[in-house]
Amino acid sequence: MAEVTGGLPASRLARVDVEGWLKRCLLLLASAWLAVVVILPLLQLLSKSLLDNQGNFVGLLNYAEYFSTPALRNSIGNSLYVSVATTIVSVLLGFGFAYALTRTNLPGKGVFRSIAMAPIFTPTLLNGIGLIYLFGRKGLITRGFFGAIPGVDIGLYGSTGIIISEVLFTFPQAMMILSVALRMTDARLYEASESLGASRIRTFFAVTLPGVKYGLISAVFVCFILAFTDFGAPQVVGGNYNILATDIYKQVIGQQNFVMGAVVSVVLLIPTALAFIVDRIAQRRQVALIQARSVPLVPKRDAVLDGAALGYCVFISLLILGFFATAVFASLVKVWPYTLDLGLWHYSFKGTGGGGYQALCNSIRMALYSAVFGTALTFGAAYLIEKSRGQNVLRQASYFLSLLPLALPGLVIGLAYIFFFNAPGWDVLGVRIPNPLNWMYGTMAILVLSNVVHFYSVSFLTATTALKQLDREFETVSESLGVPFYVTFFRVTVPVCLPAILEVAMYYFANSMATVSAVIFLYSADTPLASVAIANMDDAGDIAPACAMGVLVVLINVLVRMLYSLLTRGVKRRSQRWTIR
Amino acid sequence: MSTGQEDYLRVEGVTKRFGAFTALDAVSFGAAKGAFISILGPSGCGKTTLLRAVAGLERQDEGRVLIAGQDVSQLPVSKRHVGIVFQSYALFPNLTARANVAYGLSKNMKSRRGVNKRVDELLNLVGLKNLGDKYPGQLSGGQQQRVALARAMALSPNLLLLDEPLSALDAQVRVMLRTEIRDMTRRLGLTTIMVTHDQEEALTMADRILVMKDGKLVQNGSPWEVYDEPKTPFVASFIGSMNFLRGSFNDATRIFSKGLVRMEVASESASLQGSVLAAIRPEDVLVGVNGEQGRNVFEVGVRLVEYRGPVYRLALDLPLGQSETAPLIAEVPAEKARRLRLGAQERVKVILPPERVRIFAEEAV
Ligand SMILES: Nc1ncnc2c1ncn2[C@@H]1O[C@H](COP(=O)(O)OP(=O)(O)OP(=O)(O)O)[C@@H](O)[C@H]1O
Ligand SMILES: [Mg+2]
Repeated sequence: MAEVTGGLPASRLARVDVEGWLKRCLLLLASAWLAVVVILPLLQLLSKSLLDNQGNFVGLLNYAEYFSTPALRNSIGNSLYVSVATTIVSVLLGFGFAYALTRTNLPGKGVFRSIAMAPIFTPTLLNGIGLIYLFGRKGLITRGFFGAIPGVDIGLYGSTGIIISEVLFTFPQAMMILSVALRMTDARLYEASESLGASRIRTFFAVTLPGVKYGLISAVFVCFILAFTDFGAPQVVGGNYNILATDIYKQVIGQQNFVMGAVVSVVLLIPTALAFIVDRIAQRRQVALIQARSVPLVPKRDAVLDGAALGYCVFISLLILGFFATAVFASLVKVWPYTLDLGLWHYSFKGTGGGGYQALCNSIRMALYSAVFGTALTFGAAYLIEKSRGQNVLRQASYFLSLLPLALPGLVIGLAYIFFFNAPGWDVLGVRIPNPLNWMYGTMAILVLSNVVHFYSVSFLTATTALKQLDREFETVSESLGVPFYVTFFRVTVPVCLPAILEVAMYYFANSMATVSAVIFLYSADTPLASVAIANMDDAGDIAPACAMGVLVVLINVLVRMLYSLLTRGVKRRSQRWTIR
Repeated sequence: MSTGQEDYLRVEGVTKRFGAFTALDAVSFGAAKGAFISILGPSGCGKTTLLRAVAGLERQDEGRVLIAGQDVSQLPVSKRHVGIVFQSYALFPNLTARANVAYGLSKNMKSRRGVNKRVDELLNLVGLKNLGDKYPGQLSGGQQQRVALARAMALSPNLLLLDEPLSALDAQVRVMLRTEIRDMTRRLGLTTIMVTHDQEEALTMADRILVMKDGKLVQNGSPWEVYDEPKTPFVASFIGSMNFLRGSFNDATRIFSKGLVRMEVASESASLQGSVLAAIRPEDVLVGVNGEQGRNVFEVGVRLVEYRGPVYRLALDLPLGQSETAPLIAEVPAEKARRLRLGAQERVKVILPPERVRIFAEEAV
């Protein structure tokens, strides 16, 4: 017989592949949890839109009513109008800024980039409030700096105000996406074009634009989705100009008409989902482009172009800084515009609704929970999907489910969660199933959950990108050494991905602090929130305290951002030991 | 050939499909204890897949894998006691060289001292005694690959599997590591399978070479057999270079003919008749033998002379008739070429030694 000294006792043959099963179960769990918190609530929302207020099935009757009510129907056109206008302006401005940052010898690129990114973590409510202090009836510009110069009234309330707020909100996104696209283009194409004697203009249209085609498409659709679904700014500066997002809020909170709220949500969801699909296709193409080997472009010195870039970036930066300065200033002024004494009167939140500092603390708590749970869940799921072998169907399903939340506006998530978590139970084929998640309704848990889902996709993609950069064979090596995958996960994967993990955590934190759309349907008297407080104080006419609260939210996000920079610098210094030669 | 009884590793009829695509098609081979096997083949032919099937990283759809007489087909990689080294090294970047090597040890050895001792031993084995505290990013490619090797050896595997371990390194380091790896496996009596793209690597290191094509094992033989007695035109052209002549063959007279060329064939080849491919390696074509008469001597025109350092490469025109335009390639040692003052457009004599001419059934090369 053959020698059996190789160290393979027969008992080993019977051992099942425990780890393989563990991985499979976790992957299944990751898909299942997404199905429960995304698909089921959406189905509930959809079914609600087909029932009447008594819960009887009425088919498309609610939709017929919706489309035959001009006041409601007109919002579709309004929403499309403001978001298309926002998209055009944002993408053009963003392209200019991104071009200056990537293709010219602009000095101080880092500073300009930070300034341009600042509005990302601002509640859009504050965008609206800041604009009121600039262009509103008693605004700085409208009154000509308190009468110092002749004023101009731009007619802020309505579409104008919404568009300006949304541009402020979406500009950083467009700028980011386009910078990535512009940075990816291959320098050799420019050399070729130059050597063929093509003019600058010709090169721009023949090389630059086609090179960033997918980036442009992506920027267009991301801006569109953000502007189309945002609720904060229109709520503040929309005036009588109705759009879909504010309609949902009015139907649900104002008129307690949940059914019509569900119908408007579905109407809002359709263009968003379409834009989402187009964006995904564009992204995939873009990735394919990036993977080809390319030579990075080093911008040439060009006095005219560099000068123009500097002028443009200074101008945009001043606008953004001016906006924030106005908001901070307004929050400190005693009685705008009459008593310009500065002080912290509005920061006491006495005599205003909304919950004041308790709300702020709650928001911080919620943002922290969201950051911790959200990061753990997204990173874990991304790891399982990216680093498992086999189970292709399951992995693809999980991947799809993970990207789905990107197509869901916050208001839709919020409303769907009301329906889903508030339901006492369901009758399925005559069997009564009680709702096991009913306890979450009105608690901190549902707020955190809504944030985790709302910001899931972008975090998931960040984590996936980081994981893709790790050697595919790490798992194989540890497997062959008999080290369980979870050990390698904690000893290697997590430490190596720490920068991305911190980035995801920061993203979760800042967005959870600033968001209002999902949570405005889900907060309760026990869980007041800062962003909701801004909306409510603004609604009640307490604009100055609302502004103060907005400034506090921004302040906290800036602090967290600084903490993040410190942390990443620390991590980098520690990891420099292994990243730098 | 070794029989099943003495083979330490046996792969029997292993088939692996990815959907409708067959990546491995009933591959069988064996390896004696301590043997060094190279898998050679064009990109995408299934080399990595075969290695992964042996490792237990891919579960085969059919067939079995036996190690030391035991069927390990259903065992996961962690239970097969194999050491694996990849082209990318796959070193953990956040761990030092020592920690990388110790990665699988910590679990299996109780005492810290025991682990340290073993790591020292392994680092010595790969010649990295003093570099244990460096991170992979601070090591050169060759050093990183040594760390990967030490890590793979840590648990004293039954089988060492190397997937193009040297292809990311530059030429000199590659040649050096070649010798070191071979010495190490020989010293330890370790059965090794190495996938490679580099035929020179396979020829110099391996006891046996497996040549693969489209998921099938085309030839399994010693380096000498694979080079001198290729079983198919594919093997002949994939390893080294080969001249092919399309023509007819009479098995009774053992004469190959094409145009004005009549050529005796004395090598052992399967009995073939009719339309065949005759093949001869460029270095087997003897050039410029004056006054030579007799078997397989042809007068040819020199189309082109190409200088290649140690050898000259000649493109010669055999009198084959109109249809054939590909020249006969001959390689002549530089010293001899200089002596013969070979130049283009001249006419020279060549011998195609009958025992160096091989005959293949006609197939696409
Ligand atoms: N997980 C997989 N799913 C589908 N097809 C696969 C998978 N792994 C390998 N293949 C296919 O199987 C074939 C063989 O792949 P393999 O990696 O074994 O090739 P190889 O011989 O190692 O090639 P190379 O020399 O380029 O490394 C290829 O055509 C590849 O596309
Ligand atoms: Mg391979």
